[in-house]
Amino acid sequence: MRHTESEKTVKKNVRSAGRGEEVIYVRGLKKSFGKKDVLKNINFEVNKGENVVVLGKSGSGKSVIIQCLVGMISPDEGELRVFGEEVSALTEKQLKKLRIRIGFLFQSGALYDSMTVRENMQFPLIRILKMNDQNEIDKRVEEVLKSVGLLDSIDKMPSDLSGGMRKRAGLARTLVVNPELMLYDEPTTGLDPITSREISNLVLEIQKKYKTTSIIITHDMECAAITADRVLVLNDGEFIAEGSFEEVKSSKDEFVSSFFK
Amino acid sequence: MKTTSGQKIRTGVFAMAGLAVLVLAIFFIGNKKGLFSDTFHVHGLFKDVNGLQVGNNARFAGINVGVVENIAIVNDTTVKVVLSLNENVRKFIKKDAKIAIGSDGLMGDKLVIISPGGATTSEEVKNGDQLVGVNPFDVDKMIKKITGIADDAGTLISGLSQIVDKVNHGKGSIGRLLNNDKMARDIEGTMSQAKSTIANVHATTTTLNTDLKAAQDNFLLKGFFNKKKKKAMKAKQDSIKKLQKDSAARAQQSPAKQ
Amino acid sequence: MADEVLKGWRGWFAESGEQLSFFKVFFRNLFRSGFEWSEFVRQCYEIGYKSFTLVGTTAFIMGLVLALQLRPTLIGFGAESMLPKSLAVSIVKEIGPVITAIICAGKIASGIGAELGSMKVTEQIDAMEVSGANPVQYLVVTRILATTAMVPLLTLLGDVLGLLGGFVAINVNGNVSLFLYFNKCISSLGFSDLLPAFIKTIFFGFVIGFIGCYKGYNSNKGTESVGLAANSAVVAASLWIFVIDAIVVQVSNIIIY
Ligand SMILES: Nc1ncnc2c1ncn2[C@@H]1O[C@H](COP(=O)(O)OP(=O)(O)OP(=O)(O)O)[C@@H](O)[C@H]1O
Ligand SMILES: [Mg+2]
Repeated sequence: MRHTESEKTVKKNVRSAGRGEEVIYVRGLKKSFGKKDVLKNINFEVNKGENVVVLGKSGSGKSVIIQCLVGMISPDEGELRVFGEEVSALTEKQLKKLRIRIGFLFQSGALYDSMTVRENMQFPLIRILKMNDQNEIDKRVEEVLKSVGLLDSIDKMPSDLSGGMRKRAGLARTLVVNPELMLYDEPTTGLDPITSREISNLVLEIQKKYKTTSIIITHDMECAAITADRVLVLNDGEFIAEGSFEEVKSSKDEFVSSFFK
Repeated sequence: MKTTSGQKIRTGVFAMAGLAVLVLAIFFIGNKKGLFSDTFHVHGLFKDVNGLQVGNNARFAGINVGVVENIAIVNDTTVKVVLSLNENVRKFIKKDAKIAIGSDGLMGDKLVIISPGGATTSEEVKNGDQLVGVNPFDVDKMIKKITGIADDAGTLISGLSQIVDKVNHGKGSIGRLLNNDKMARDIEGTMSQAKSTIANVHATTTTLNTDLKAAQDNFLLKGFFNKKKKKAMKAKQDSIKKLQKDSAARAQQSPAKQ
Repeated sequence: MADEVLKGWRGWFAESGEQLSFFKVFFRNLFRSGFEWSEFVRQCYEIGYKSFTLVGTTAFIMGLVLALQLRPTLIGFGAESMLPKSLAVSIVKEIGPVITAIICAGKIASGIGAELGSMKVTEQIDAMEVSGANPVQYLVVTRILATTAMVPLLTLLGDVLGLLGGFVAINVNGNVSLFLYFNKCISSLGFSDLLPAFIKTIFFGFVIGFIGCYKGYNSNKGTESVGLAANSAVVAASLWIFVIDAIVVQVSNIIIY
């Protein structure tokens, strides 16, 4: 917190950050689990309508960062603003309101496995958007399932879907409420190259269509290449590189360039 | 997962069945305790309620017609027992009815017994009336009496058995028996003991009669009484057998003599 | 050694504290608007209706066996006629509620523990929370209320089936009409027998749901924690059932006498 002000001005000067309003603004984020310092000093911001890709080794704490953003994990230290609101200072009600504006795609898809795909889609519509017109709900569900190509699996149970289908269904469930900010946790991991590409294009499409802001965590370079406006590389609890996909790819840093081999 | 209407129906039936059991149980138990029918109150005063408790039954002509609603100590020698009785038996209970505390058996629950009355008046009891309380017969006292009688009987029997023994052994004839001082004294003693015992027995029989009847119904003493009955039966049968044998023997003898 | 004991105690207190705060969360969500009726009904179906066969069969057999075992003893006292009374009192006051609760702890608490545990592991609970929905209201409140409502009903039906089992056992040897039998059973029961037993089962139901939810909801994210949640839910719920049983007996004795 102490160095925030100075750093902020520095960053702004350097990167001419005046392009748009900042949706996410993070300074000095620290988080440790027990003795393990997972995040040491995380600073970044995401502008409205931007797709930011986060790269990093497995277990480096990428998921922890976005979990901090939605208040699932409370950070040890640091300033953390989403839509201009300090997340750790929010009351339960405010946090709920904030979360409604954010879509979070879990690494595992996290479909509710006691419900059919259709009921999975309806769940946030009824409970979060408080919709009660059944026709409208059905229309919306069908629309979003069509966009991820799952319309014919609408009445299947999650256990009857393949891994890729589950991921797409999870994506559809996050999209169905039209969030302003999307947090994708490894949207393409475990999928074949063709499906991966489809999903990556879908992510890009969503950004275009709904003007959403996104953070995409991935190990998949193709996905990063397709979706990224900007790339952040996480190592040892800090972002060690930042720039467009091409910039980061041509980085001299051995660790950073090792991602692109 | 959506609940199908079949599931809803089954859940509903299940819940209804469970609730029905609850309601029925409450109704039946409550009915027995007279909660859900019209009741009226009467009370009586006792020196000692002998462990009667609130909720114990009140019986009229052997039928449960109500419960003990309250027991309160009025002063150091008086306890007030309030009964709540079914309205529909009120017409059978007259103002001079008596209430007594009894039990379902030696170990059983205490209960209040209502005797109908009607000897001096034919007026029905009214709500809040006081009935005459007959103080309970103490089980301890009864047991004491029983042991007393048994002791007396013991002495009597041993005296008798001595005599019978002697008679059996053919010691002397009746004249000798009468002349014999010792025997005469024996008999005298036995007689006087017998007299007092019989007086005792007489005094207690009346009370015992009722209580023993209760005791016979009681499960603990049932075995005892059954055994006794069996013994008596056996003795009877033995004597019959003996008689038959004797007569048979005589019958054999007489033709032989002839 | 002493250290270990201290650690154990501290862990125990920490767990108690956690359970208490979980209870607080449950309680707060209980009165929030938007009660999940449909999920509640579904849970009642899963918990109540689907456990009925198991509970009913067990209760029937218990009643049967109890009657067969009691008979010789009572005949020895010449008190065979006390058989319905002994059955009614023991089944309604103690055996029915406790056996049903233990079976439900084994079936329901472990089921809830495993279900919520696996939802936790597969991030479904997190997803619900992050989406802005209320997982406690949807998952926990409905389940706890369902067990609280269903276990007493299961127990009541179990009692009836247990008494029916006793009737069958009596009729193997003697001949008693069903009407006389139930009349005798009912007449040997008072409100002071029925009500504490019934209230007890409400607590049993609550504890079964609460422990199941607590263990599942707070399980770790490893796969093995699903089994652990199910297992520890059964153990803790069973233990609680006996503790509550003892407390209720004491309290009701104080109140009634
Ligand atoms: N809730 C938690 N409790 C304890 N430790 C945690 C928790 N969440 C994450 N960690 C630890 O933090 C570290 C980073 O975890 P994280 O899930 O962020 O990794 P990741 O970068 O997303 O890796 P992957 O690419 O495999 O998903 C891991 O070592 C993990 O053990
Ligand atoms: Mg991760």
